[in-house]
Amino acid sequence: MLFNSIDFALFLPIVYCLYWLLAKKKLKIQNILLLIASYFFYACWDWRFLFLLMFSTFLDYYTGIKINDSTSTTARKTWLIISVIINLGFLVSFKYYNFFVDSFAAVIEPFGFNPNFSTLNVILPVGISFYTFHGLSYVFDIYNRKITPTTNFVDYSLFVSFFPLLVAGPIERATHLLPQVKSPRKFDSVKTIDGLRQILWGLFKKIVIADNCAEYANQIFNNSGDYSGSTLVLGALFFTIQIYCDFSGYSDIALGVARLFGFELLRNFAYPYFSRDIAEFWRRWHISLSSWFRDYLYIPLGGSKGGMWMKVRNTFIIFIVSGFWHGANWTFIIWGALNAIYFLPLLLSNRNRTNLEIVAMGRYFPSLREFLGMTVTFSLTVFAWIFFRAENVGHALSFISAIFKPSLFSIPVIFPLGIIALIGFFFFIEWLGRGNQYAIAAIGHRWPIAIRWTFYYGLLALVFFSSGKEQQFIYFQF
Amino acid sequence: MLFLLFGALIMTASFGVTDMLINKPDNFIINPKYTTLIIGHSHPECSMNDSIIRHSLNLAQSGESYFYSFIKLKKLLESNPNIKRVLVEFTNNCITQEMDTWTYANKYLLYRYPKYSAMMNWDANAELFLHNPKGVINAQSLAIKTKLKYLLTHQDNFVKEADWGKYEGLNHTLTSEDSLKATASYDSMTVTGISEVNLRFLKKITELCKHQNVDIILIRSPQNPSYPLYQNEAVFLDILNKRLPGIKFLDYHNLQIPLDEFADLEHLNAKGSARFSMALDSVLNSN
Repeated sequence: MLFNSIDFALFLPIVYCLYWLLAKKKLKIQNILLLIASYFFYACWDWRFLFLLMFSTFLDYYTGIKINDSTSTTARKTWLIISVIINLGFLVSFKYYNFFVDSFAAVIEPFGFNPNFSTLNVILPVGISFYTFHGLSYVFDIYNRKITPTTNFVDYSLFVSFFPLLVAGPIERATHLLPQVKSPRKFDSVKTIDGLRQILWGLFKKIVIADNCAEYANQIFNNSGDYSGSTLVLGALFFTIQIYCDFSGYSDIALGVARLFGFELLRNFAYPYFSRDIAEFWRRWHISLSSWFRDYLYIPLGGSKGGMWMKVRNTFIIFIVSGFWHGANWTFIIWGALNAIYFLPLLLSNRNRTNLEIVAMGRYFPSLREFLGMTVTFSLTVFAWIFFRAENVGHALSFISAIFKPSLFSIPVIFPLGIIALIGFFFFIEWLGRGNQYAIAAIGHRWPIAIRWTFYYGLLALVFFSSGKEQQFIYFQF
Repeated sequence: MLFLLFGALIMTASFGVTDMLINKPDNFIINPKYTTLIIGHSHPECSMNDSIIRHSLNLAQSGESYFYSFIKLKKLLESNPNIKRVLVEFTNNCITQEMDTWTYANKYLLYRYPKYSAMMNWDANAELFLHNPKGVINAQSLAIKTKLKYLLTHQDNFVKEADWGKYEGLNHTLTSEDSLKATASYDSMTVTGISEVNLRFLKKITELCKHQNVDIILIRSPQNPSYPLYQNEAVFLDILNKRLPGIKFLDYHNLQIPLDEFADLEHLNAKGSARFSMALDSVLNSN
């Protein structure tokens, strides 16, 4: 069920009431209740893949114990490899089999071969990329002796399957979430209100901004041959905003829902479009994924230690794998490679760790330098998103070449003033709230209650008026 | 909690106020020259040209079941005492279970609920809610948007601005190849089951007309002889005789219409519509 659906609107209060009223202070019952609710939530998507989720959960639970109990390095490594191979095996089979088959066929065809490989007609299990990485982070952390395995299967299962993050993240770490699962949770009205506020902001981003941008982005990308360069630029901008609001909106809802149950999840987005350079962007975009790749791929490969070529190699590997994680298409790989190209100059010149503080903190406006940095970084990401959105590489290239024509300087044929005004309002609020976990976390705390409530009712009204048809979250396809 | 309660109150009030403002009779007044209303689905929408049938206004619309036609008609009769006659399409597909889908399924509900929700009473809302609660809830935001848009920007009456239906002349011409293909595509269609809800609301339409002293005529528009839904003809006639006794029925399904005056097996194109409309006009306005 989608977060922005009637089903979820019924599901959440029922689980919430049962959790706090019936389960009260009994941790074990709370965890069992949440686990059942999480499995029900997942089964609503496709009950057949529930068994895959359960299998993956049991696999990592068991191999985690085996890794910990093994005394020899060989045995520990063997169990780790078993977990990685089986987990990634499922992921690759469901997600990438057809891609590899089709790509291999495309490579050998020019040499006169006419392969007739059969491709699989399989449905991609929802959330497989996310819960696979949950489980893998757990076994990696055990292997690296950062944590000891839990012997409570319910607790572990809840860590993997907790419904707010099950289908589209954030990708949690056992070191962060498992202790919360094992600790008693007390009802906190302040956290509840904060959670509801974050849910509201997430719904606003998703339903009001992302879904409206999607309408125009889809129209322009699907008919890109018919539009002027300026309209194509607008299409790319709409998609840029759509993917941010869709994904970060989902994350906000996930974090807000988790807070209702007394959990604090990892922050996943930190205003990435206000980044002054690409390195800062990647510290602020899909934080849970990029930190996962950093800790479990980049650093084991050597990270940024070693010579220049090792740095270049590792950077390309991590960005291309990150792109590939998003989908089985060359466009995602190119998107990843582009970001690697953007990132490398900063890494090689040791400027990838500047801009660590929040932009223009304590000031209303950025400096000229900061503004230029943000503009350049934003433009680079918009360009890369074209590949992410395009159906294939050819489409992306024709889209880009169509932009750089004289019609680039014409007035866009599509110019929805209302949506653009809403986007302006949205970024204004994001800018004001950029120092907080989510934009409206602290907005209006000093306002009179009537004005604060009017603001919240206004957001709710916008959400209500923009709803009526459910559009799935983009990242569910990953 | 207070925030949520207060919000619920505001929402309820806004629905109530918009409904009240929309339902003013002035918003549904049609030109008094129209004394005949045409309602139904796509068959009359395409076949009955109200420029040819004198004093008539075609408010039929594709995909409309009698549930929505009843709500529409009730409002129009309340606001327009000049209406003396109602023509209601009654054809083979009107009795099939497909009509349940036309009444309750999301695709239809989300399209029609915004148009008619302001006129729906508790019973009508309950009827829809019991069969498709999610659809009704999802339709609320569309409904209020439609109402607010009308209240803030309208230049004409609600009938026009909410698009309650009109005559649509089709340009496509059915060829014999099209006819064969279309027949083949229908072959797998089975006509089983009867839509009780559609028949119930057709009955309500006839009773409403009787109560308002308005003449009601059921009409079956011309259909291609190859129209596959004729397989339920026996059931159709049985229903007509047993459940709608005494209601005038003008049956034109066998009217001689050349193939090239059909758009498809069940819809006339503009040429066919002109022929049929003239025939109908001569019958309706001969007295």
